[in-house]
Amino acid sequence: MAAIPHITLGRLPLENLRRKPFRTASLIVVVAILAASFFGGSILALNLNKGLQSMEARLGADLMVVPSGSQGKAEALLTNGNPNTFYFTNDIGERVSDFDGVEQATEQTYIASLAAECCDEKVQIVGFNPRTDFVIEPWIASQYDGTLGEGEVIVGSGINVSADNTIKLYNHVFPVKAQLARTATGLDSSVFVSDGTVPDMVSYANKVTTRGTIPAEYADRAVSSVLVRLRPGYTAEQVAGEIAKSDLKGVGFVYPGGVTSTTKSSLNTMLAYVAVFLVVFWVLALIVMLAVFSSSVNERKKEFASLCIMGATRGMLTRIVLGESALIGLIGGVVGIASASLVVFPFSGAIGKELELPYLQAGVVPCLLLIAGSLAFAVVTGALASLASAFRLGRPEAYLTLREGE
Amino acid sequence: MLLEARGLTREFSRRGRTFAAVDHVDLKIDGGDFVAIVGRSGNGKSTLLNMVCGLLRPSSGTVLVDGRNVAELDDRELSLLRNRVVGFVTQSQTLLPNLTVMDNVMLPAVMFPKEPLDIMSSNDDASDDAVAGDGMTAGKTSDTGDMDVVDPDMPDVIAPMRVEPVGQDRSPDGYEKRVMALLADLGIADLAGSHPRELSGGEMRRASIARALMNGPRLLIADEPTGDLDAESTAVVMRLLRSVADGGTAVLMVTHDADALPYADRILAMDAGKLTESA
Repeated sequence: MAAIPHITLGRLPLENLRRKPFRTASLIVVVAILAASFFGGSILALNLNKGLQSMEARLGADLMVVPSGSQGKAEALLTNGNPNTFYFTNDIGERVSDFDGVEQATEQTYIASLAAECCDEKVQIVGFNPRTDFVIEPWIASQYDGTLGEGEVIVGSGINVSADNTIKLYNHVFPVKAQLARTATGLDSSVFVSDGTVPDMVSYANKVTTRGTIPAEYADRAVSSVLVRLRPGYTAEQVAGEIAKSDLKGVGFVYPGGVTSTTKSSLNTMLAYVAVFLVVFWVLALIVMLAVFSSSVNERKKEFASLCIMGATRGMLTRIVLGESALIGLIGGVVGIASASLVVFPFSGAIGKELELPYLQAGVVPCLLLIAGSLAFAVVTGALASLASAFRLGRPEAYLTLREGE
Repeated sequence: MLLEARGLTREFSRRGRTFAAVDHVDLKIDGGDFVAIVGRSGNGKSTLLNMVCGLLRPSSGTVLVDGRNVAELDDRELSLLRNRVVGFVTQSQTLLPNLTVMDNVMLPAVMFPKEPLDIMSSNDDASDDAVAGDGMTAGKTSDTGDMDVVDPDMPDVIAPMRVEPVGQDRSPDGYEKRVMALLADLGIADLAGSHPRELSGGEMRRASIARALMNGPRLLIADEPTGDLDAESTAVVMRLLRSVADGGTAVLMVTHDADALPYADRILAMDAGKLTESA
């Protein structure tokens, strides 16, 4: 006869919500904002943590020896800074490896390309020695199964590679052998070449410009930094002190661990703000919902008394109230998470740039877990908000409460 | 005996002073009895009704409904008793505003889906003969369901309920048929799809009665069923209650409406919590 199935006790919460569209929509909006904040904040924290871990993994050296006054540029290179060129004018690599406490040392050369017609884009060119490198090479090897030959490049995730797998730098076209996964560090906007390619790169650069590049006379021995791995029992400060006391002049030091801890500290500060905001917002949302459900139960005393009279158990009344609030939590949670997802996933790159912190999109599984967790959080918050009302209805002689004022 | 109250007492506290709203009440009602309790407001009538159906616990004394001590039942047993044995027509409008009349009336039948609902109410004893005529036969049905002699002093009584039992058909369609039959007997079948806010006071009262009768109760409790009704609607409702009692259901009504009293078999008075036979 009727197309719609008839009423059941389980459908009552849905009917009650449907018949109060304004109240329902308002509560859903509150929960949606809460869920969006919770999910957005959590995914932010997750991605920042992943970025930091990636950064720690990429900064595999205990100490960087750089030209005095270039420490800031070197730190920027490690984090998310602009491309830079700096170099030693003396032969430093072998000298550093002779100091006590140095287990391994490798040289790197940094050249910044130009944002001009000669180059596809302004990138950080990193020259490294594949034979001695212990920082970049293992990472490259994990993603590129081959030996990087002279005149070939490997590019970071943020580099735009042309359709024919090449990149133009200083009016020279380099074949791109591989593109690396994102790391959320300055390495994403870097182009890696072997040390054998560096003199050619310097030569190409000098044909285009003489400003901001390595002069031709240093092309064969240009070194920007010496990355050091320490022997157990030595500290970076201790070895740096020894180097500083030696006859090696004009050297400065960067402690990658310090860079990481500074970043970690900024990240923790930001996460603390996010956490405080979430807690305050959660408490406010809970109070609003508590008030709404409480007044709603007061308004609906007759309705619940009526259900009592018809034979509803205390458990049934409790389930109706909890069911309504859990439904609001579920719908609000889905809306909130969907809305937040529309921002955090497509604009992940922009968020990372804006934050100026290592920001790496977490994988599918952690994201799905976070979605499930956020949804559970929204449903539990909804249910929690009506717990007091449900408790009042669940008491023996709730009928007395329901008849108050009659 | 369908309902038996012994020494039933309920005390409340107001401003630190304890008083008995219901004071050592004894009451016995059998199937087919129509008992009215009169008394001024605040004399404990509603409290008594609420204790009878287990909505309030007595301070002392016992209530036996269908042979079971209400105070000894747990929440589920008590709720099941209210759902299956007792029908309650409340003083105020208690239809659920979010549901249609159809769903409101059907709701009691779907509350305990795992418990068999054998509605073989005494209503099905009602003879078709009773409605064969003009459907407004004045008279009283005996416990056996046969029509008794017509009492010329009684107000007109509409035909006894002739709702089909649904004990053998617990499908949604079966419930729907029963709801429609109940609403038809109460003259509001055309309002099945309406919401309570679209009904008049009299129509709501009839819908409430239909809901109370949905599960075929053996004890129908009516708390001021004509409280806010005009004379015409009062007569309609009282005829309905009379016909229910005539069908074998015990009816316990609380009222302070003198127009309702001629329909009852026995009239009791409640004063300061004490129940006495009315003169």
